[in-house]
Amino acid sequence: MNRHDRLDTLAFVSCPFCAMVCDDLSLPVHNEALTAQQIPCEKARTGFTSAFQATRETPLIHGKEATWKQALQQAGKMLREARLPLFHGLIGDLLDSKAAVKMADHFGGAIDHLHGDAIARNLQIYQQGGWQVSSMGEVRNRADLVVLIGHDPQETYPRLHEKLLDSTERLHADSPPIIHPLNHDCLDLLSITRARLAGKPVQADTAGSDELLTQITGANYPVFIIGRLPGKNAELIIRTCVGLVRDINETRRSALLMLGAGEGDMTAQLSAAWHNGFGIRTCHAKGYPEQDLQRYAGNRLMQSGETDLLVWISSLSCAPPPDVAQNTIVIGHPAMSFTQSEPTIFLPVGVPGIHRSGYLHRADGLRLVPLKRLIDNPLPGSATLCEQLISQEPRTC
Amino acid sequence: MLTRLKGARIHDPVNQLNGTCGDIWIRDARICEAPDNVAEADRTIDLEGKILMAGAIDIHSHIAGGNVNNARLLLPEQHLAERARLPQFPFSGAKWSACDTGYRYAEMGFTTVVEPAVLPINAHQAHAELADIPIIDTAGLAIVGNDDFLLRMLRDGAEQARINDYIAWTLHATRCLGVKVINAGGATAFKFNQRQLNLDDEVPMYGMTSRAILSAVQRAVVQLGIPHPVHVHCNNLGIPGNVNTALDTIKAADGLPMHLAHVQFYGYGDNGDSGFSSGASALADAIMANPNITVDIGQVLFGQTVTISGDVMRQFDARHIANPKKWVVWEGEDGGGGIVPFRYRPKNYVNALQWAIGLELFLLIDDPWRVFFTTDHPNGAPFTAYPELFRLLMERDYRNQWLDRINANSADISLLRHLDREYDLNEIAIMTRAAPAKLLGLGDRGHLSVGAIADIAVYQPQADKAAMFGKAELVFKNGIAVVEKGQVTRSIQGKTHAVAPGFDRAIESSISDYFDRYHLMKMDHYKLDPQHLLETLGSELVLH
Repeated sequence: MNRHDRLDTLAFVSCPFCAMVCDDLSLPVHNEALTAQQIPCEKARTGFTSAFQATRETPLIHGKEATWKQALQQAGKMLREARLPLFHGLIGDLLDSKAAVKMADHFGGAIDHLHGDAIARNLQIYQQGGWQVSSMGEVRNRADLVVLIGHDPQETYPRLHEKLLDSTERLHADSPPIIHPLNHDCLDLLSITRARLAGKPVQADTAGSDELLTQITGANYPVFIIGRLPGKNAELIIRTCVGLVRDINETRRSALLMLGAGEGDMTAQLSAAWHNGFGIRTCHAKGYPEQDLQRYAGNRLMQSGETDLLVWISSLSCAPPPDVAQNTIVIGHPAMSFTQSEPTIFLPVGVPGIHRSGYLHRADGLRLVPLKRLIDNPLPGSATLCEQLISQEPRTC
Repeated sequence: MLTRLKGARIHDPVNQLNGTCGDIWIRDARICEAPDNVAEADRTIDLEGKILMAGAIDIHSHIAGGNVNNARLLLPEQHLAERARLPQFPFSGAKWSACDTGYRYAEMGFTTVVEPAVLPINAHQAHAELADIPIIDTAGLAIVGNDDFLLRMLRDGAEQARINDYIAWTLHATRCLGVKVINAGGATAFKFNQRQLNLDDEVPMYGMTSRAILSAVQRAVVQLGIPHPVHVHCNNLGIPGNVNTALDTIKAADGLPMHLAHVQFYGYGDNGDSGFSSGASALADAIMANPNITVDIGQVLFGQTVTISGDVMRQFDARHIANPKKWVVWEGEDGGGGIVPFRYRPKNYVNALQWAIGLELFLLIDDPWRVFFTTDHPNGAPFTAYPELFRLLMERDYRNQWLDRINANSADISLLRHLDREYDLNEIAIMTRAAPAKLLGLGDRGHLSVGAIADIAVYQPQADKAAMFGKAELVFKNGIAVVEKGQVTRSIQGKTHAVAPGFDRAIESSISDYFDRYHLMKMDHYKLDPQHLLETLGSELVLH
């Protein structure tokens, strides 16, 4: 880490540890090493600290240290012999996702993401009717009403208020927007509001929607932000917001903003799309890409036993992979530890934005943020492992 | 490695070769002089009877970036796979993927393609996608004209020299080959709920006209000495009567270089019972009378496609004609866009007339150096339909067969039946090779001079020009054989081209301050770093 010996602080560091991908962190240098303890954002602090402290440099086979040659040979053999390998997790950056989708194409497997259920839900809504969306920057500079829907957005996006919602210096407004927070129980309120806006008769008690209705009709640019949204009504809530936005735009302006959960969800989906044409939950077993949002759900493939090899890719998170019956290859964060069962093979890789350079989409998908290598580290990136495994096991048909 | 391509009929307008039989010599990646002794050739390929041209260049094809990629996600049904991948070619079964784009273009003999709409904030993704397109060289055009920083400068009466600095900085930040203006001020006006913007309408909140924005950018491009003229998507795309907008824009160019994109979509009059007629004749006359103007057509071909555009105002307006009925409109920092799927139907009066208007323009503009071969992929048709367009331009009888099949009223009022012109191979070589290289300022291609890059396409002469241009016999990229008998045989990494005009670095302090005040990113991270692109994406930039 002696590259920082003449600096007090490394400024403008990009953070890959939440969906917002802020790029303005400052990391102080103590004793010639970067430290993360003073980062005010807890997610960033945790992420940088665990990467800085990671020491693993060698692979493991059944929990025992092995050489890279041994580990890659065995991994290649397992991939070659697998009937349907599943490349899952994808908690990483663009280079990790590219590696996953290339291996799926090469070895005839399927890909999914940790947050595949939410991605697939949103994709289905999108593919059925489309939608009208805004960007994080537009909300920051122009929205005068933000209907903020989701489960604990402050926990998912710790700097959402600071960066997006509370700015007083805005391009097209003098003061921050009105914020109307809603939780996952907001379906009735949104539906009644939509019906009232459209002038349709409503049998339910409408008094509870007066405030929101007044806010929407009084705003020039109301934006409906959807954060993490668990629960059975999530899909209907999103569909209602899509409809609300569509209705409002017939005469005025409004937009939706889907923020996702982070952990590489947007990057996995977008980069898979330009590689295989479709995105996640696409399988190459037939020799061509085929997307099926239900059939190729990672959890289902594992539980049903249709997949016989799990390749778990997670360069950003130390959380271990799901405990499954199948053989498992983990291409993972060097500080990952395995509490339940050791994977068949663990290939530690560099953390993007710390050990190696990379790219990660911010939550709205509009911007791909460059991640720079901060410290020297001998670990390979998943792209290198992918190239090695593919060249080691050429396709014959 | 010294290769002799022997005895082909060479069409190289730059060197006045129009079907002359001769040899082309390649040493490594470049075309070289014939050696004194032909026996020095390491390899000789006999091409007697074949037609040989430089690799083709597409100046306007939406092949990368967030808008294109989101269209892929919206329309899985439009690109379901039909065949398994070939062992040596990753994603070769994945239709409309980045890999597929490179393979399909190469098979037709295209070796350089320009993505004409890179929104600066999305430039990193656009370059990531371009880097994943194999074989062909690529470039992007950076979108300006709805960027708040520029509009503020204009509102505040900034000197032209400062505008020039900003335009040069934008090209430096986005690593693009030129600049594109899409409905100048339109995306901004739409943000403030305006639904149409004419050339002389004022942009709300800023107070200058669309014309003023366009002129300022045009002057900047000229004064900076950027080879590719400002690339203009005019106001009022697709609206009946918009030929007047195109004519006004040609006048607004004021004799300075300007490229008008996909002019078929502006060739519309509003005469007749249905209020939709061809304006091709007036538009072609104006183009012929103004040698400072170049155009590409954006030809419509019948079938299912999707319109992908940075003209968010137009795309929102087109939501009612979406087919299938789904559409996406988005807006972001300094721009926006939309995705509207569409099916052009031959029996539909408007669609058939659009098809005819594009062909009328191709045939009436009698200067292949100034009219370019595009379908505005995928807006008029996907680029994979190019073979059909070659045939329509080169075979009058084939056009007439189509005129018997399309909507009869459209066929009746179109001039097309009266246009005898058929493009010959020399004109095709100009329009798809020599002229685009000149227009883009890429001096090392589009011709077969000694020292040129060895991008070469060889075709088997056939009566059916669609078959001939659809599958090249042989294609070289950088001197490497990449296509044989219409099939990709080798995949290599293409390069991405950009310009790097100089500018006063002092502008960076005000841009940096602006970013810190209003954006969610640092200026330094907004800018593309060639070393980072190379290290992470393997993207090799060539700066001109």
